[in-house]
Amino acid sequence: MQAAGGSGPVVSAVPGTANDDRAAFERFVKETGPRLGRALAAAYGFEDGRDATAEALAYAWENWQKLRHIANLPGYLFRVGQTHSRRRRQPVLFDIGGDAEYSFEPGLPKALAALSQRQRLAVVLVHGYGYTLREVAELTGIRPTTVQNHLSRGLLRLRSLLGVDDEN
Amino acid sequence: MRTDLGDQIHELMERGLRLVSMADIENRSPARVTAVRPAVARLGLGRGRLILAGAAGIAACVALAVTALLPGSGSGSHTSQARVHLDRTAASVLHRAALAALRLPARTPQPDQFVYVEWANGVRTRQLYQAWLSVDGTRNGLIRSGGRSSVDPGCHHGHQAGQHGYSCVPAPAFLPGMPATPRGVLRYLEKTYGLGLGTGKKGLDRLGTTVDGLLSFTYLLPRQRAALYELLAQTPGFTVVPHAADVIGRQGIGVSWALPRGGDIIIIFDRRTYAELGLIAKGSGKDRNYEFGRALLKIAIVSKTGQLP
Repeated sequence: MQAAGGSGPVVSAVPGTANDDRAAFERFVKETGPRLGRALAAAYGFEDGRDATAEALAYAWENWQKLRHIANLPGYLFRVGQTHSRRRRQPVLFDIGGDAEYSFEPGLPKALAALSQRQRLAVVLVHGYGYTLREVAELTGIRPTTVQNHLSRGLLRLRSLLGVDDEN
Repeated sequence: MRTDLGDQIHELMERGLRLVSMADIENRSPARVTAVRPAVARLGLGRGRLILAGAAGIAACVALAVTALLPGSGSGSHTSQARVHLDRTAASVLHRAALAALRLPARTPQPDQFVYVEWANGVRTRQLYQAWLSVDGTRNGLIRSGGRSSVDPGCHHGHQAGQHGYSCVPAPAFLPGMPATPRGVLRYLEKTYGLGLGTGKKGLDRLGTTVDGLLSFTYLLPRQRAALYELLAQTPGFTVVPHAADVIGRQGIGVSWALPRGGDIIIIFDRRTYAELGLIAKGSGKDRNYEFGRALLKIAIVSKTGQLP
């Protein structure tokens, strides 16, 4: 969904925020945005995942005074993004578009989309990005042992779908 | 072929990911806060409404654009719409589907009941998909697919059960407040889902997938279902597919729309009764490996999760 507005109102128009808040929030977005974006993209596909990320971060910006002290704010915002996307039980798409050359298996986007959401989260974040099980658990609210289970099963299924049997 | 699966996943994700910038956030956020919050406070609406109302600018434009498409609105000369072909045959199929929907029995479920949906999912390999979805969205539902079960969490008093107090908005599977006219349902989609139609493939895809989501995962009253079909019928960009089959081989007639980056999604109807059979999607070009399909087997009201109609 395209965001409302074109150039966007000036930040000072947001009630209850100041430059310090903006700086802190920008740091938060810089540090946490990619992690949140990867997780929600893994869960919902590139487009819907980005939409969910933007919604979650916009919610954080609106409620920054209230939320900034939450211990696991990335995990909280992951749930906000999930709530935003929950209604869309639609096919998950990993569409890179364009004519760019790539070196991954052509069937990888579809195979990833065929995994369960939790398997995909575990496989993408742990196997694709090198996150620890604990990091994924904190971000997604899933227990580390459960993440491990989803990772094992997800990799098994992914390799089966792609017809590869390496142990990488 | 590369053998390091982790590297391949990383490459795919990095190619497709577009990170959210402050500008993206501000475009969504301040517009809501400055323009909408007073009205929200006055009306006592919750956060979900706040988010959706944030697209008010675009929604107003969309409403105008689609109003222009509705019969009798007299504004059909809008230049952006002139480029889009209104496929009369697709419209005809959808009109017939709407008429067929009106003949369906109407039953109003109770808030503590569940909507049971059963699909055959998948194109080459099929899985039975069963879901018991809370009528009012407050109770935990159940999803069974591929031999596994998972809870579809309900949202009670703004919090998901067992989710450490995370806030949520109920996602009811029955929508008594959804209007039963094309124009009304469009306004509802704008308000409830922040749906922006636009005139391009992306807008059409948003409309198609949102309407399909409602048709597939909610229990609709006959007039509501008919209104959704009519809304599609009155929106340019849909085309007819004379011969289409769902994933279990049932033949029918289809109405399709283009995926934003190549390929099509087709909703398939029974050629004789115009009852909806299912949906099939097929990518093209770089997305040629993308295929998805599901065939509707049952949709019914039951009293508890796990109960079959």
